[in-house]
Amino acid sequence: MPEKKKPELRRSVTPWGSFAWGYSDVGADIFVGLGLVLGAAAGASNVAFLFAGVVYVCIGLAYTELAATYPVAGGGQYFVMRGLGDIFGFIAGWAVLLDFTIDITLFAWACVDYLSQLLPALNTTANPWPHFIVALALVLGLLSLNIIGVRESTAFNGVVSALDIVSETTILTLGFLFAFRPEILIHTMQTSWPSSNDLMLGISLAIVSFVGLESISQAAQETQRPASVIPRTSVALILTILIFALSYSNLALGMQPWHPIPLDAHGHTQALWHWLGNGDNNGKAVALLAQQVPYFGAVAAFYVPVLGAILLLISSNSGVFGSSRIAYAMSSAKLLPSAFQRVHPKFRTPMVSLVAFVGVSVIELFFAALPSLDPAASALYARWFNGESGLGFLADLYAFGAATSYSFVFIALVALRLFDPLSPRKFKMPFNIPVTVRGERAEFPLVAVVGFAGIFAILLFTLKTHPIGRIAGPAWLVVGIIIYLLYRRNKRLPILGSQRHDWRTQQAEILRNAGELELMDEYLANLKASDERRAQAAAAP
Amino acid sequence: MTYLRLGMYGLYVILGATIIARLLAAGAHWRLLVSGVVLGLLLVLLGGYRIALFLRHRSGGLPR
Repeated sequence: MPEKKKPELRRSVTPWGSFAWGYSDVGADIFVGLGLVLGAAAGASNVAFLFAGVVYVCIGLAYTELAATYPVAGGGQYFVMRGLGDIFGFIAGWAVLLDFTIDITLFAWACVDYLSQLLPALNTTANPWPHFIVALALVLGLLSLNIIGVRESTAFNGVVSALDIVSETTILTLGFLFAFRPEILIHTMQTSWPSSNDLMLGISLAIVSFVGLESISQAAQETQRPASVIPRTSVALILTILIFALSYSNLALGMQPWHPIPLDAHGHTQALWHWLGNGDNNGKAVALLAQQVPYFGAVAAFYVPVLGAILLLISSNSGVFGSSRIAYAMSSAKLLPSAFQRVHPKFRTPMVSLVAFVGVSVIELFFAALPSLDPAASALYARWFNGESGLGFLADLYAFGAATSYSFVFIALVALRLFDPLSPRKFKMPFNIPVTVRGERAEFPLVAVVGFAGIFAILLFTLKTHPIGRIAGPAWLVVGIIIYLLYRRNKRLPILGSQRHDWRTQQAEILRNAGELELMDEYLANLKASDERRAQAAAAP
Repeated sequence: MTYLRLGMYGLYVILGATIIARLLAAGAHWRLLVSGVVLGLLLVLLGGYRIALFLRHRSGGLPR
């Protein structure tokens, strides 16, 4: 009887599709992050973005190297499992899952915020119930789309990403050429420099504007020739996003508004950055900034909210896609129950993972909306969590999940460089020190050390300055570890240790499945040469 | 499509140079140097690098 073939995710994502998945996820972050960072870091918002941006470049380079070397759907979870063992792989994957579920909710929420610019009935402060219901409907709609399949959405992603890049470049170019006043930037940075605590808060929120590179490695298993495609798309993505984030923050601090800014609640005049960062506007800051660009702002006022809303919706969709794929990968690696790798018989999409983690995101949406929906809950949040808004609640958890998982990824990258030097690396992070480990030549990555120091600092900033993140984030990890321990004990798998993995066979198979036959041959040749060297060394007197 | 991308890279160079020139004209305050000037330099370097790539591979257009 012929062996039944295990269903696999299909490889349908093209190079542009891979870039668009990443761009629609990370590119949308600035639409949410700009207002939040301006509200926290005030006159040092550009410095907060620069700090987070340097860390982001290190993370991006690390992901590019790892995703090109190990093109599997697990992303960060797989790299950490392979470099540090099963339990750390689970913790990293579980933290990434938190981020993806937040991604779904945060961007659906912000999508409605941008729509409210054209449809005031959806304003979260004035009409919290319609805002909540539309956000919930969007999340459930995306769930249906993802159960049907991935290809339908990648083509759409590509068009919207291209439109957005052209639009943002136009806004920033016209803004810098006709409305940017360096003396306003100097004045703002000198007079509105925040306290150390607010700067730390701003930096930890700024990393929110760069989260989502995971989606490229998530798509690696569905991309054709990933080892060749991933470095190209990732580096382009890293630079594009970094430039946009730095540009927006500098422009917001140093821009001469084209239209008068409304007075604040006390009837005083307020600066543009202050207006963009307040609680009513921080969810739609990019649309409001675009309105203030001379001449072009009149057009931008109509289309930027729509374009922003679409991009945010796609980003939310990336969260649905990413959470289901990582849960699928974790289940395949026996870190989560096998139910999560059940694929829909017709559409070949991981249906159980989709439903489970979109379910978690709906719960998060409920908690985020609670203070605006119920005055009693609002009083509770005001007492225990410094009165954080729904957007603040989501950003807290997002920053915690990202900083935790990325910290592990940097350590795993160093471990893999040292203990798996034979896997061909088509792309390597720059600045390496040659070392010899167990008789093999390897390279120690200095940039990974810099990146780890940066992201670990951001994790500490998050724990210090985010009242909800420091409680709910670790609580999520504790719940996950309990599930993991029970599952592993039930399946009689090593609880704290790792299963036996035949990484050699697995790596050759990964490269063959990815269509990287030259790399597979190189890997097998490396293994053969290494085995011969060891045999000679053992035979030598 | 190739010329659209080339135009955007040219725009990056012009924009970066403009930002640097205007910031330096306003005074070389350290806070500006660590924020706006970094952005300007990044834009000029990125745009310049991509245009140089285009010129090097002119026969085949920009690398895809």
